[in-house]
Amino acid sequence: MKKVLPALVCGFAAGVLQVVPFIRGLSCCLLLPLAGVFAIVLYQKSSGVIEKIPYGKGAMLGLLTGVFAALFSTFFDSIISFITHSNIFVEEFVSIQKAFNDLPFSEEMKNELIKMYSMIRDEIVRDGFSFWYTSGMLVSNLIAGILFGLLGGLLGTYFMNAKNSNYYSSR
Amino acid sequence: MFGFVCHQQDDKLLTIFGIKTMVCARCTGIYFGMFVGSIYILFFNVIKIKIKIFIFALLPILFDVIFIEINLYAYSKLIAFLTGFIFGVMLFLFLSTVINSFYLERGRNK
Repeated sequence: MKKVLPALVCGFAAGVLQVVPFIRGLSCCLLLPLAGVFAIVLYQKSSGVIEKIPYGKGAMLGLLTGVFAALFSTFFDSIISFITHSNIFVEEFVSIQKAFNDLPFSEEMKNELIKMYSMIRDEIVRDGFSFWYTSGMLVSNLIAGILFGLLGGLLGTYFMNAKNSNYYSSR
Repeated sequence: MFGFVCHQQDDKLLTIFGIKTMVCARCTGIYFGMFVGSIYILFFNVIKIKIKIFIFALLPILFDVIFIEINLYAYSKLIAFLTGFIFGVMLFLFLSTVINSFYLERGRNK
């Protein structure tokens, strides 16, 4: 558990920050890799000993951070949607519709897509929850979380090992 | 889709051949920069990028965000794209350095 804790803490923090619109707009795609880097820093601090972190372990910690961030973000997003009966998908629905019209698809396909998305929007507005929206978000968040978390984990491992390289060489 | 890794604000999206990008101008710059970096790596040797240079490449993004937030100038898609592009190229080159270290470590452990 102690090994997973840094990933859980940083994943939770990233998941919470992802649903805050101001932070989300400011940090954009850098939040998840940063969470991965901080997970490595926390891991080193919590272990109490300065040791070279193997890249495999760093990558795994980063990956777990991304997974936790995706789970927490989807969870908080669902809770907020359930309470407010609205979310970014509902708010930006007109833009989504416009974006679909710009796509080089046949009219039939565009209408089908818009119909499907309208159904999801109606479910969120009516019940505060849509199974298809939540599961789609979860899968999409997990894919992005794993990739970006992994990147952060690798970068964090390199930073920490480079920072402590003087310590290793003096031993 | 991609909402987890980009705010996707409509006014910050680029339009290429009449189609809007799925991520903002800065993120498009980062991904395009990474693509250019990967092309560079294909034809030339891996450059060892120092951490300081990597962090230095992040500064234009940081300053751009701060300057926009304090209303020094308005958001510009071009500046956002360019700052993202610089970071993207450096990120990929730096990442190749990291992956190189990973394989060196694996080679030593075998």
